[in-house]
Amino acid sequence: MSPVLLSLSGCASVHSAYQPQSAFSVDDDLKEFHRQFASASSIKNYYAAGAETRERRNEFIAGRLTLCDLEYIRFVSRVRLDRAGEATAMDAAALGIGLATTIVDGERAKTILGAVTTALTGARASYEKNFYDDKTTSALITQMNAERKTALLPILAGTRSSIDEYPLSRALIDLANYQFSGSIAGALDAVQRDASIKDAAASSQLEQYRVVSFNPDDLSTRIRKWLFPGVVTFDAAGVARNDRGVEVPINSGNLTVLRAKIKVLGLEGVPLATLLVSKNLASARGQIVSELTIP
Amino acid sequence: MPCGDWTITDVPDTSLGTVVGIMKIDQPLKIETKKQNDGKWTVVGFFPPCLSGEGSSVEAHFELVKQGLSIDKLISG
Repeated sequence: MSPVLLSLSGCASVHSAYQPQSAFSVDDDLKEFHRQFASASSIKNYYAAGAETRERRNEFIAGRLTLCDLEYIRFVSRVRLDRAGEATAMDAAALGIGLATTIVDGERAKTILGAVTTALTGARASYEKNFYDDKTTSALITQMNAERKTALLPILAGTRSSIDEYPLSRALIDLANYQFSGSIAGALDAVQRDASIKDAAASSQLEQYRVVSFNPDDLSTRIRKWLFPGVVTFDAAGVARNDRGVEVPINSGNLTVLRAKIKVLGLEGVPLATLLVSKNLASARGQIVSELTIP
Repeated sequence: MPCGDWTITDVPDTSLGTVVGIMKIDQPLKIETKKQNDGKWTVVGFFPPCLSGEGSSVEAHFELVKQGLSIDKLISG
């Protein structure tokens, strides 16, 4: 199978509890490919063989890609099998203790063993929720597959280029990037990168509110009074006072709810003062008053 | 948590304390008030600096640091 096809079709050969038995042994193939490409994909041998040629470079790349793909398949397979194995171990332990419960004498022992069984069952449920139901593992593997495809593109383009345009030194960088793309760290990196892009876009949206003019409305007053129940005025130092001149503390519960709502509205990072007086944020205030049922 | 400077202009005398009081909720490092030529006020809340220019999150800053350290960036100059 060509390295390219192998890398794109990738994990079809992975064997787990949820997939058919592999048609070939990844471990055996790895050993075979290591033997086959050990020399061709050795940097020392590559440069020792004289001037670089396009053919030798492409052979080196093919060897490294193939080894990388097979290691990746083994890695993904191991991740999934380990988790399935661990869940099975939990089942076995629960079953064993369950049996022991029926054998031992004494109510106290039975109670303790029963509690342990319940705990194990709960642990398994929690385990499955974390690693199967919420698709965390699958999401990371999907991300890794996507990153690997992206990282493969410059390598493929490079193999079509001349040796001057794409020497091995450049290919090695791309190959290292390709290998990193197939790691949990690489996938997390990509997830964080995407999140950062979204975050930067959201931040730039908020920049428009950095300087606003004072344009409060009735909604502003309602939110303010809800935050400071009983407030009549704010003194020159900005301290909220009631009708007897006593300081009014902020209602921390309401503030927490308000902050959560602000976050949902995508306005996290905008000061409350700006939110309450900006003309352009009147619709957000309306939503807040309506959805938090502020009197 | 806001970052950088946030400004409210055209605040009338009678609302200055209210704006300052509400601004305090977000715990700025400092609040400055300045009287405008028309007699109204400008209130500026100074918050911790944004870590990555326009972006305002730690994640965005971290991303820039990582980009700066990446091999690709070093090679492309």
